[in-house]
Amino acid sequence: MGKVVYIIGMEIEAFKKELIPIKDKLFRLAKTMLQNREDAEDALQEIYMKLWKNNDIIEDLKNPEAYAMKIMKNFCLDKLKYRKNKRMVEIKEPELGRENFTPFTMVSFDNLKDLMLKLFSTLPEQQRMIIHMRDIEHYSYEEIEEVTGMNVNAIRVNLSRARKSVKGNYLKIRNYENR
Amino acid sequence: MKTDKIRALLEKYYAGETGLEEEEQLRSALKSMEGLPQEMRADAELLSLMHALTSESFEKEFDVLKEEPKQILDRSLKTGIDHSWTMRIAAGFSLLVVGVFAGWIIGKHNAENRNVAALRQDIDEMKRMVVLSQLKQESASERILATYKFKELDSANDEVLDALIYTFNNDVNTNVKNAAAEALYKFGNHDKVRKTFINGLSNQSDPVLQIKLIDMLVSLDEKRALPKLQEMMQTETQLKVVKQKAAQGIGKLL
Repeated sequence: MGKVVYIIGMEIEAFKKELIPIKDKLFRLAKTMLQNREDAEDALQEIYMKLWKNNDIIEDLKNPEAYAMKIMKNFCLDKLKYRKNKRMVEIKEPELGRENFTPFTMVSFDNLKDLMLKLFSTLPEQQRMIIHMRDIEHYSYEEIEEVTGMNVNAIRVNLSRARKSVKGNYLKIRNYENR
Repeated sequence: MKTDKIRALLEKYYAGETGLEEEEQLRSALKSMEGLPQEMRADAELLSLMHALTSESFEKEFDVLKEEPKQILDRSLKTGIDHSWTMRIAAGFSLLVVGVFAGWIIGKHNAENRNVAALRQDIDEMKRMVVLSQLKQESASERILATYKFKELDSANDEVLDALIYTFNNDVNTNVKNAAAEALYKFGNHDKVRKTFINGLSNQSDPVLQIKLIDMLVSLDEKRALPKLQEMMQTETQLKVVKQKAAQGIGKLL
């Protein structure tokens, strides 16, 4: 057994080196997708357990980050599908403008994060995922392509729609406050 | 950057046509609200809000890194429906039956003055019966526990060996296979165990298990494993670490 544990020990090193540094990115993607901090934390623990189980292939991967993001993306989409099937969440348009957001006076980082979550929550899942990867993580189109499996043109179209929707929703909040 | 250029970049940005470098230029140009036309203020705020999210981090400790490698493997088994209550009751009842039966046997055997070795054999037999039934449990962790219990046995009959070999060859969970291999190793003097290990070199695909099998066969000085080890070394899809282990095994067995 000693030798086997030694091998596992080597794998842990590769795991720590390749995958632990990207935990924040995975967490942020989960939070944007699942719209909830607790669920995102649970998702992250789950994903790292999954990644650990597949650890033997991590060293052979060209891009472990894209692999991990892809697993997280699939996990979140499954989770959202499950929620919808179980009717665990009400699927309705969030009522923007009625929250107590005050973008110009906001000093709390938590409020900022909540505001962005709210703005993203109105987007379809694909658009939410793409705008997150581009405008928060600053991924290239090629990297987004690798994670989502969509082609660059489709990514650009979805990104454009997402950016326009987010701006539209943001203006609604702004105008509401300026009334 | 001039207002016209910012406006043009914003148009490209909302059309999804900007590159990463242009987006960085845009963020930097919109950083200062001073002198920024009113119509661009919302864009500036939005880009700055999104950029702020880049620094959000996960601060908790990972469950997966808090544990030792062996514990991680065990923990990874604990998935799915929790059968623990029914299992505990069943296990408790089994133990009670075994205890009462053992007590009865002990009393009876004492009364009949039979020797201690025979008594032990009876108890082992009961353990086998209980453990054999546990090998059929749904939960992987229960099956692992069952295989570990076989290690307590001093000897194994064909029924026990066959159950362990079946588990080693067919269980869907690699960790159960590993536990079965460890339990079988204790009975390495049986030829069927050695043959199972040799065949396992080509049938089992999990690298941790393959490495364990090589270690065990070397320790049993099983020279019949040599052709399979050579085969492993020549398999292109085999992991490098397994190939190295096979090469070391060949060196020790020759």
